[in-house]
Amino acid sequence: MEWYESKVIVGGKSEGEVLFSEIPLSFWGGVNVSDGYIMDVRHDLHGQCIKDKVLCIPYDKGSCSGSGIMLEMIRRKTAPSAILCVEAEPVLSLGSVMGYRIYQRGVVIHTVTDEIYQKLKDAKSIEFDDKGRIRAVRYENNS
Amino acid sequence: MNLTIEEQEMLDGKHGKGIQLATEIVVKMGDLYGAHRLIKVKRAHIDAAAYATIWDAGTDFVEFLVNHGARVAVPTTINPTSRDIKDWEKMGLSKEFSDKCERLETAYINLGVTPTWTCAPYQCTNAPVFGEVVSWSESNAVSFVNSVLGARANRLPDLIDVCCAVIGRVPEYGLFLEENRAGEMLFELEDFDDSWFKDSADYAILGYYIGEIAGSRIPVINGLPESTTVDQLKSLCAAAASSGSVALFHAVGITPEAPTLEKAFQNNREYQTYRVNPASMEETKKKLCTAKEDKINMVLLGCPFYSYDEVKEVAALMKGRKISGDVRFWIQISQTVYHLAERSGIKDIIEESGIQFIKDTCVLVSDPDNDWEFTNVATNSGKIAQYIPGMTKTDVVILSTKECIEAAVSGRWY
Repeated sequence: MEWYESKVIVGGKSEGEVLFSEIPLSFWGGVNVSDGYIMDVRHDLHGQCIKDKVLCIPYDKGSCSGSGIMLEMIRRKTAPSAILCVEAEPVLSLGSVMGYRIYQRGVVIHTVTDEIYQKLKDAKSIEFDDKGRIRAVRYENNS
Repeated sequence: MNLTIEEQEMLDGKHGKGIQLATEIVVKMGDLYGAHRLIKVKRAHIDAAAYATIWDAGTDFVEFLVNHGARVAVPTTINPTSRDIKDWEKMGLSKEFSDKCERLETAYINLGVTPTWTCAPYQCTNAPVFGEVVSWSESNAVSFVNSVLGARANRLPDLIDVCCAVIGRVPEYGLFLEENRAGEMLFELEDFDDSWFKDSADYAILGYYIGEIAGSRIPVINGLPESTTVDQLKSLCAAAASSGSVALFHAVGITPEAPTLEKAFQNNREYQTYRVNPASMEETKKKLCTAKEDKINMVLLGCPFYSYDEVKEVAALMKGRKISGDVRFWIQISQTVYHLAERSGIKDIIEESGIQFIKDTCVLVSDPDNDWEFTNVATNSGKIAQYIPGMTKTDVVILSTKECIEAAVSGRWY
């Protein structure tokens, strides 16, 4: 599979099963900190669990409290393994930055262009390397 | 990032481990978002206040700062905690949960914050002035001080808001810079007659509609009536920062950086125009409604926290009336506004009607595992309408303030 250029916001390598959406998400009020389930009833990933997954959202939105939620999810080990997005605001990245500092673990966060993001729509699994590259490892209709 | 000698010393630990950790996090984030320096502030507002938002990780962090000598460097107000400090039992919260809230509240008081416990600090004791750079958090409050007051705030994430208050500085990026404050898209209001934009709910619905399209960009709104109040703008701020992440908007002729359309866009003439009409408002209102039946058993007002004037409006509408025995009606306010209502006597009018004040906290930041014992919520707040169905597994409908009151009296919303 083809490698695409990405920008490393936090962390480096990761690989995991993908949850892909084109709808922005607020971690506070949108994700259950105790089990990683998406509880925003208006989100297309409502009812899905992001724990240990690669979460693809175009950007985050809403409350400034997303960072606190993310840090606690890292502490409780309910956080996604990685997040791929088009825009990573500080509210999305800070929790992971603090996780690496305080708990020596966090969420890998990379951004890609909108064009590349669209190409990953059907990816089943995405690999992140620490040089600022990502690739889809498997696609939905192509094992 | 270029640091002054003093800032370098803070980073090197010469001012204690608390200041060192706070500085390290701020510098790391500053580098990540392209800041070249830190700028000093004269005031701060912290969002990371509720135990049910920052949990044990955040509590440990604030306690680490306190135990290692850090204190807020500038006057700092704070967001709602996770309980009504005096009347938490009336909310049905457990002693265990209340104790955890108290532990975090104590840490913050030891850190030196002013214990306002409000998400509308700008209506309490902390209102920045035009052009002032502030260390600010809470999505509605960031939007309010930027848009309505013309101060300069970025959406600081929870916990870095604490770090910035402790070091008295913010990394310079984003909306602190004049050139980043220009409007990026126009929302033109069309075909609205005089019956519109009299109630907060209309502003909430408009805010929700705009935030969904704008995302994190800066919308310019043209066509709001001159009669628009500060409380109505507060409602718009909260909704646009819930459906999107709007940190600044300009309302032509209303907000201070938009005396004219040209000024709102800083003379840029190329932008996309979105037309908003009564049909777009109705559609958004429908989208916000998850209610499947006409029954209501909770009316929730005060998101953001109600001001004294908003409480007064409810008192005038409720005087001599009683809410239905099947309905609970909560108004979320700060202890400060509660005292004012007590002194003028409107507190009694409201409580005699069966309405309860929730002080220092709100349903959204309280215990998610509490049994709230309500299933069908009516509110005039776009922020509540966005979050409450997922957070408390209830249905919600957004109504005007008057309609909320009628629903509370009859137990039905249509």
